[in-house]
Amino acid sequence: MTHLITALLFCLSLNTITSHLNALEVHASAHAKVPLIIGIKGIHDKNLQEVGNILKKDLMFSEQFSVTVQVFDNTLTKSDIKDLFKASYPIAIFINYADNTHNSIEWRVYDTMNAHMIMGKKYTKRGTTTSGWAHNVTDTLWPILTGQPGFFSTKIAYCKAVPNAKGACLKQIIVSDYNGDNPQLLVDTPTVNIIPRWNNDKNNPLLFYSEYTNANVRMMMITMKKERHIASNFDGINMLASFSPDGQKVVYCASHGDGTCQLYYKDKETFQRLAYTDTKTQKTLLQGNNIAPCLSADNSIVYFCSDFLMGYPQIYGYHLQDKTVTTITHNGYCASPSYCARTNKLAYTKKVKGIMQLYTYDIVTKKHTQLTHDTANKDECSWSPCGNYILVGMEQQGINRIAIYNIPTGTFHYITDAHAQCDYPAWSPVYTVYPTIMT
Amino acid sequence: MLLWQLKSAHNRHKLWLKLFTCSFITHLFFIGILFCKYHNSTTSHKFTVHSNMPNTHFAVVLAPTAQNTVIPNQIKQTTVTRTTRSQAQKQVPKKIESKRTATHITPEKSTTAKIKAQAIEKPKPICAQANTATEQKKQPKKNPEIIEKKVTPIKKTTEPQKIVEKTLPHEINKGNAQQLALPQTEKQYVEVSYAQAQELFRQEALKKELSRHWKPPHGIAQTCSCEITAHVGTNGVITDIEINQPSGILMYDVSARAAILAMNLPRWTWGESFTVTLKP
Repeated sequence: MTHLITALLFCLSLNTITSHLNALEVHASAHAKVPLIIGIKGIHDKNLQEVGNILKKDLMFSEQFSVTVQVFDNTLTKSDIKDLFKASYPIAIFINYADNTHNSIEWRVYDTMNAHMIMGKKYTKRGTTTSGWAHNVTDTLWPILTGQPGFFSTKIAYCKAVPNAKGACLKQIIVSDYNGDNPQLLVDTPTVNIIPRWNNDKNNPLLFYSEYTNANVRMMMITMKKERHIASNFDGINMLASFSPDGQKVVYCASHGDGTCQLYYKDKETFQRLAYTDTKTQKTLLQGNNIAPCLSADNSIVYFCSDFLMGYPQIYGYHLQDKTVTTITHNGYCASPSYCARTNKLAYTKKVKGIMQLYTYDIVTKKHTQLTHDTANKDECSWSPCGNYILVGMEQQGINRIAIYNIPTGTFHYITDAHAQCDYPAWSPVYTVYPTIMT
Repeated sequence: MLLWQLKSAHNRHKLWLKLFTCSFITHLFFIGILFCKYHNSTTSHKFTVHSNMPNTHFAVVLAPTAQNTVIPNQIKQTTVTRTTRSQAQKQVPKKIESKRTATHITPEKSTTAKIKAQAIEKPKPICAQANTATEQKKQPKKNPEIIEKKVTPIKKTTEPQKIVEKTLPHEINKGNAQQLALPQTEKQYVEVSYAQAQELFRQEALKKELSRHWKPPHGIAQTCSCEITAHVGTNGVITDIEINQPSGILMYDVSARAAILAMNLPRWTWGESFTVTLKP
């Protein structure tokens, strides 16, 4: 009798356990921003408030989050955090000073549904600017939120046309935050300064640029303290230095007064001009202009733009080991290659129906993708360190502006004013200390 | 007092009491099985429903066991030698494979969906056989065996065509259940039970509802995915939601969870739990 009752109960319980639907797989049909709240806790001052506002701006830059900043008391409870979930904020970030000295900022990321803290860290202030602290905090938050490396502690350098007293057009070099905020004048010599390029030393940010002189176009180097040094002063043109990730190798362009611009490679042991002869046509690199070099991540290939083979600019890859050249683009007017080590892709511009459009080339799949289709001409382009954005100079109806192209959303974000003539942008790598220009 | 009464009761009465108790428990057991087991669904089946599945049309013919879609003329041509009903029923699947002219569904017996290749005659679904009176006459007589006892006259005839064997399709489009405009070269026939079809339709509806609310942020890699299990209470409210396999991206997991919480859960999910894999 007992066994029978036990068996009956067991069978009934088995049936309830097996009441379970099957697994489904669903794909998305649209995109939406994730709501997020930044809470400033405890005792705060203007600096912490500004950090919160800059955090908000940084997180909203990628168009993945919609952010609200709010001040909270220090006595925040779990039920208060769960109330945030009911207010449609699934993620909350709380920032506060770690101690009374205000030298470090603590941040904590919460899943508000369960009031569960996902991660928290203490950031010790580096540098002297509030924006630098905020960008550093965002760089530590970004991988947790998005799984991507941060890019906020970077700088952008570009040229700005300025008329002098005699009406001649000079060009100065401006350095700003990644989003164009806080522009600062770095090079203001009374001449034309163009094509800035950042080095890859994370501890020592340097900017290389080309300066017009009466005799030549020499390559200069400037520190964040505005200390200028001559980097290359050969006859003719010296420009467009590209550094390896370890900073030990460099490729740059120089004409040496020969009339054509050639590529020169330098490391600790060698200094050589890149030479190549095409087997079919017997044309050499010496017969054309070779510019805009960029080193690959493994330092084995130099991607550059040249007209030596076809008579008009194309993108090529020079293999340093066997000294051969492969053709990347095969038709059209292609220029301004820029290499991204993180995604292993090239960005370049190509003329389509009379307008220069932005393209990317995947080195692994060998696939070209046209990114833009609008009516503005794209000039120089430069990748962000994370590989999700491209900084590009745009010209339309005689106006030159700098914009950031957001690859996931396909949208442009202008970072310079429509009234200023700005071009030749360059995006810096992520430095350990946020580069700040000392005045 | 009760013990004294039991001790003094006649043995015959004790026997009756025991018999009554056993019978009562046995009845309870079977009633419990009927109520609980057949209340919602039968055995669970694993289905994977993709949104990017190829748009192949195939017929789903659902018919009670008593009905037969074989045409009377065809019946005469295709006869079985077996006389007993149970034996004929057992022989149906094998005979159908080679000589049937229409799909035959036995919801009670078939437990798995099949597509059957027919060498000689190709059965057409019911709807496609609507206006084939002339076609019936044109069809050659090929198969001498039929199932006599299950034969009932139906509307259509089929032309003998080859049926290509194909693998089991993973999705039954509800709209296509009645569409039978199949390409002439290849035809797929699926036999499913009513419970299976119902489950598939329910999954499709749930998937459609979830797709309306599933909106991840930009910039997510296509290889990313998040598996979530939601437990629905008997009142239709989600009582618990677990992320079984997080994607590693907080904003993605949070979006996935929000999509499930925002769903209007259909009535049949109440008291159930389901697992969803959300992909960008």
